[in-house]
Formats: sequence, structure tokens, C-alpha cells
Amino acid sequence: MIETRTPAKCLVIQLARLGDTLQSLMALRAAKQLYPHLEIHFLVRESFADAARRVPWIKHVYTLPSQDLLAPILSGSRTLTDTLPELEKWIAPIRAESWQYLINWTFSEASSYLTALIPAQIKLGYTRGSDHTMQGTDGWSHYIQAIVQGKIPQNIHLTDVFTTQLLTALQIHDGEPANQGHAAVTSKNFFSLTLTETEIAQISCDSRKRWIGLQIGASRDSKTLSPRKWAQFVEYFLERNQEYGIFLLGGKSDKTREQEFIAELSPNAQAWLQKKVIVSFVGESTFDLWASLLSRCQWLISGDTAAIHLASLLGTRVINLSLGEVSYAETGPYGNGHYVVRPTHSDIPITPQVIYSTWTYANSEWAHKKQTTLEEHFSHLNGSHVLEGVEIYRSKIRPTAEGGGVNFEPMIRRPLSLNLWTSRVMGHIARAWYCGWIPEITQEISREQIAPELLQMIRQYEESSEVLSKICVQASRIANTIHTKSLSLKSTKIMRLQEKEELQDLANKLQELEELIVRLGRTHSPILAFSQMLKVLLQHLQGDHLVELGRDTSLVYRHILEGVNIFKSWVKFTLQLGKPVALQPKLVPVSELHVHRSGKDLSP
Amino acid sequence: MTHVQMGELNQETCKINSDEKKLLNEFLEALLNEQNQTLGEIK
Repeated sequence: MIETRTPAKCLVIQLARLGDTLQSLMALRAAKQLYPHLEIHFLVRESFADAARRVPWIKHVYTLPSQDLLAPILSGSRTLTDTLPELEKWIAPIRAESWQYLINWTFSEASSYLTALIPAQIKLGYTRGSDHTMQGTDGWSHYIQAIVQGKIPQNIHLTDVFTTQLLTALQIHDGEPANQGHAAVTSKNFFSLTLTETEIAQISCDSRKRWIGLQIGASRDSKTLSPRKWAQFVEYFLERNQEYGIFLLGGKSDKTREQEFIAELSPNAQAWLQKKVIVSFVGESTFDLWASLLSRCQWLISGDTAAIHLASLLGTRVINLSLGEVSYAETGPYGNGHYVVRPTHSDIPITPQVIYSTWTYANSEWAHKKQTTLEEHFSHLNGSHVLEGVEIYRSKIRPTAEGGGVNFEPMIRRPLSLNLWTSRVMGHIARAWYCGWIPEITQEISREQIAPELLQMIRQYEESSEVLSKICVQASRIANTIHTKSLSLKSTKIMRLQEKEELQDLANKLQELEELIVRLGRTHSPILAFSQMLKVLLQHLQGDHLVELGRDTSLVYRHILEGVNIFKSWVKFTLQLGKPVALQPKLVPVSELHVHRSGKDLSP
Repeated sequence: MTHVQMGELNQETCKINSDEKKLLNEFLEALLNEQNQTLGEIK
């Protein structure tokens, strides 16, 4: 289809790390496919700019020279004031452009100042208000602030948040997309890469072999395996799969780890290094080489988020070792058929056998077509005890009718924890708030996942969610009364004493109700989501007059109430599912009722 | 509640006024505080 719309200039700010940059690029690819007239420019830190520079449809990459700016200040050779003219010079050409869209996907304090400083017709993400307080410009930004950064479990992947946030804005301001955008977002050709002759020679490994990439490092040691475990895994793997080779991947900071890994290999395994069955690229990888290697791999095994996202973008399947404080639901591998392996508790180690058995199951999906369960597969290979202390999930892009986005399906049948239950409820509520519709709860939870411990906890929320919804109704009414009473005032500064006292009384009641919600949130953890969201939304109220503040506060409470009602439905449905089967009321279609009651059709 | 903030393009955008200078200063301060922070780490 030929694009006839005039280009819409769009600047995306991503000042976080490479993993976040790659997630942003994936979301932008989806938007670019649907709205080809978008002219996308990208603002990123210099150290992570290469990924954006290699994307052919990114018009221009601006880089923030954060090291050049900050290093002299940190060393004491310059002051903040000395640095300002340089910063002013840097931002001038960006401010001079006529941006239609400015999208800040960094979700940090610092980036919010940039959003405020760069003029644009439409802004998304964090910015600063006229009094310099932080403001979220849209619903998803409030959700990130209150829920994601507020440490409430939720299961919407950040790539889906970015995509939905941008597409909603585009739909509002640019109308329906020019095409349906069914093309895959990920591909081996996502980047336009250039390799030097040396790099081409390096990458020209045995073409008969299949390759597995191991990203041995991560931003923290706690997020990856120890060199000994990696070595054990490699030996275990190569002894059983001689048609495969291993690419060892990592940055300059992983050189020590690489040496420790090599030292841990047995003498026999050391020979694999000589025969180039194990090829190390640790410390040598430019972005182009790294991406080329990953696109040659059949699988990547990694705990490092940047490597996971890069492999996802390139369509390389991933086994994500989800170690330490990371949320696979939010930042795990995006796409179909990736696996996440995670210990049930931080003290429990992930063994090389578990990783290997997960890989053999995942790699033979085409043969068993999931007719064999992962549990049966593990049982054949090692005995089921190996699965104790491990959670394993498989990623799947859900059809729109089931809620859309990436979903991580549990591969081991276990009762649902309160955290997982809460994360599903929050995902459901977010869809209602920001997508305007929700799939049936029946698609999200089933009877076999409900354990008595979960029911016991959820029973407590039956009463508290009821109380919460009543508070929201009352608060919304009071705020609306403030709005109505203010409308009849000639001035909000000069009023009769009685009017002033009435308004003050209403404001005090509203304050009491807000405090009540905060107290409920402290005692019942899933309800904390609502008190945090309330706090964020109330902070974002922008009106200067009582009339506007009353009206907007009423809307805020109605918004919270919408979420609370969904929460109540989940509580009710889960408790219903937990009842013994014999006591479950059987749902009978209305058309059959007459027949059941009288034994014959009563219709004339 | 999905709403998008609308701004107006200012032809004089290149010039930085005193309020914007303050914003720029606050940006630099925040940048110093946030060294090496990612979305994941903020969480």
C-alpha cells in the first residue's frame, strides 16, 4: 500500500539501558508497520546508541553524552553550573525541530525534565508540570508509576505497555492505521548490520553445526549462573549433542568470568575449545557482531535482559534464566515459544540438568507437539524430583480475543500463588482501564489452580473489596457535591461563612476516606494497588479551581471503582471455583429451564 | 482515563527562558542521581 499521509515526526526518549532500548525498538516496529508515515527519531545514551543506529527505519539517532557531561562533575573538575551551557547547546537542535509526538519511554525522574523541555504537540510518558512536579501524561504512565514501579505484581509485558500506549495515541490523533500490520515484528533482518572482514572470519564457524549462544554475564552476578554451573551445563550438553556448538557471549566486563569458566572445564572439554566447538566472543563483541552471532544461533540461554531482548528481536528462541529480582512477566523474552526457568525461592539453585531438560523439551516441540507434558519429559530424563523448586513458563502471543500481548503459560501444574493471582487480576484491570475491554475471567483462571491457602487469603478480600467499593462511591459523590456547590459560588475566594464551612466539611470527609483507603491497602496487599493508583491520580489533578478539582476528583474515584469492581469479580469467581464440585450451582441455559422444571416444554 | 497532553509549538523554541534553565539544571541533578539506573532497577 502506498503511504500518502504527510510524515509525522516522532521523537522517542529512552535513557535507560540496552534492554529497555531494544524493547522500545520492538514496540516502535509495530507502530511503524501500522503507521508507515511515522518519522521516528530516537534519543538514547551514547553507550547504547548502536542498536538504534542499525535500525533502517529510524530517521535519526540523538545521543545524550551522559559520561562526558557527568564525569567532570563527579571528579570535581567542573560544577553543575559550568556544565549548563554545554547542555543548553546540546538540547538546542532537538528543541528546534517541530515534533508531533514526543514519547518518553524511560520512566525516570531525569527523563521527565527532557520531556518538559522539548516542545511537541503530543507528549506521552513522564514530564514536569508548570510547578516542576512530575506528571504522567497518560493512563499507562500512571499505571507504570503506581503499579509497575510501585512493586505491585502485574503481568502486562513492558513491550505491550509501550506498544498499546503509542498505538492508542496514534489512533486518537492520526486515525485508524493505513494497513493491518500483520507482518511479524521480529525478524533476522531487524537490524542493518555491517561486519569487518575480521569479524566475518570470526563468525565463519563450522557451517554444519547448530549453535547455542550462552550469555555468561548479567548486570549483576545474582542474575546469572556461576562459571562452574555454566561449565557443567556445557559439558552435559555437548556430550549429548555433538551436532551443536557453543558461542560464548559477553562484554568486556565478563572476561574474568570467561577465564573462570574455561578453568572449570574438564581436560576433555578443554579440547572443544581447540576444535572450535566452543567459540568464545567474550569481550570482543561489537553490537553488529553480537547481533550477527545471535541471529545465527538456534537458541540463546541467558539471564541477561539485553541479550534476551536482542535474541527475541532477531527471532532466536530463548531460554531465560530468570534469577534474582526480575519480573519475567514484564521483561522476559517477547514472542512465541521462549522458555523461562525460575527458582521458586532465591536460595534454590538452578541445576544444569534442569536447563538441559527444558531445552530438550523445547527443542523437540515439533516432534511431541506438546502431547507429552514437561513433567512427563522431566520424569523420563531425570525423575520428577528435579522439578522441585523450579517454575517453568512458555511464552505465547495471545489472540486479541483472549486479551492480546505476550503471556507466560506455566508448564508445571502448581497451585496459583497470591502473587500470580494478583498479577493476573492487575493485568485484567489494566486492560479495562486503558484498552476499554477485558476478556472473560474464565480464560484467565481454572479450578485446578486454586489451593485452599489461596482461598483462605482471598476470603479476606471479599469484605475489604466491598468496603473499598463503598468508599469509592461515597468519595465520588462527595467530590461531585464539592463540584456542584462550587459552581454556584460567585468566587472561590470570597464566600459566605456557611458555604466555606460546608465545603471545608466535605473536603475533610474526602480526606478521611482517602486515609481509609490507604489503611486498607496496608493490611490487604492486593488493595495496595488501588491506594497507590489513587495517590498518583490525585497528585496529577491539574485544575486550579474547586469546580475543576471537585469534578476531576469524582472522576478519579469512579476510575478506581471500575478497577475495584473487576477485583471483586475476581474474588467472587475464584471463591466460586474453589467450592467443592457437588455444591457448584450448575448453570442452565434459560431455554432449557422450562423443560427441567416440569419435565416438558411449557411453551404453548 | 487515556488522555494525551496537548502542547503548542512555539516558534521561539530554541531560546531557553529562565524557567527552562531551572528545568535544565534540575535535569542535570537528576541525571547525576540516576547514574546507571534502568527501568528494571527502578522497579
